[in-house]
Amino acid sequence: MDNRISSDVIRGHTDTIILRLLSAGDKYGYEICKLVLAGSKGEYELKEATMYSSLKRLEQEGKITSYWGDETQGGRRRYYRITEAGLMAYRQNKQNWEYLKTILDQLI
Amino acid sequence: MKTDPLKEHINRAFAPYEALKPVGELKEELYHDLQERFQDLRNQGYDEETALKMTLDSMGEISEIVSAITEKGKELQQNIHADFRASNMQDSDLSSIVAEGRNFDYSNLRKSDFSSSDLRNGSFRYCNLADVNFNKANLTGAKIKKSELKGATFDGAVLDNVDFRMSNLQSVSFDNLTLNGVNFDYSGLRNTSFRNATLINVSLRTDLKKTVFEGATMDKLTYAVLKAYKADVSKVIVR
Repeated sequence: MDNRISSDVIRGHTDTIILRLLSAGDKYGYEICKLVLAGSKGEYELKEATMYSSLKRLEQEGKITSYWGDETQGGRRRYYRITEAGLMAYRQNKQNWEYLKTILDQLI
Repeated sequence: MKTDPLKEHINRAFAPYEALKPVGELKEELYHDLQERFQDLRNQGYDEETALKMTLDSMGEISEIVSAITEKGKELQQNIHADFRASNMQDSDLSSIVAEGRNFDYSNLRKSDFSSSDLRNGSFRYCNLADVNFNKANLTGAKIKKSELKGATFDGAVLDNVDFRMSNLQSVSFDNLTLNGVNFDYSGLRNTSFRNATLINVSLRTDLKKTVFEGATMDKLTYAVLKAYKADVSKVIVR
């Protein structure tokens, strides 16, 4: 299987993947990367740059908010939280994907 | 102290974007992530060198983030390899930016606002700087050669060792400023005024017949040059 093509396809869904993870609870950057790697059973590595561009965009769009944690050890972490608008966007994207999947399944 | 390769890498990757406000916090976040990733990899048994390489590889293209964090980011990203060279940034609000050592050669910066900016050692050759606001900017060591500066303002600017050679400074005011080591050779200084300015080691080998030096204070050498180039020195003060 061509890994590069599949990772390009996955990358197009970064926003939705992140929204889904945040719908289960607030998370910080590296935590999201780790969960994506684990969730894809090691098949897909979300690069920090890709993740942060998605996070910053989602924040500008009001779909997530962020705040600094109060860790005392090992530096501060910035946590991201999904908003109501973010949850709606996630549900919509998920629906779109399900629809797309059925069409592609019929075509391919 | 041992240098921190993660921090160095982040600083290098973000260097072209330092002027953008949200970059500071992003660097902190990213640094924290990379440290944690590096530690995880070490705990998984990778040696230091491999863990470091894997960590840096995980970062990806920084320009991707920058375009997301600011509207201006997209433009900057396009210009970044040329380091602002040959960019059209007419009317840009660049006030209070830190652009030390930056290269703006061949750019159209007409009417831009550089007030209170740090432009030390910047390069502005062949630029359109007409009507640019340089008030209170620090231009120490900047090279502003062969550029158009008509209507530019420099109130309260720091201009030590600025190279203005062959630029057009027609009608520009340097009133009340202290000019140290500034080079105006072959520049256009028609109706340019240096009223009550202090000139130390300033080179002015150009036509000074229509240049205003009323109340300016200067050293003997500068005075001699002024006289040689036919400036009106009737109201200058020589120290």
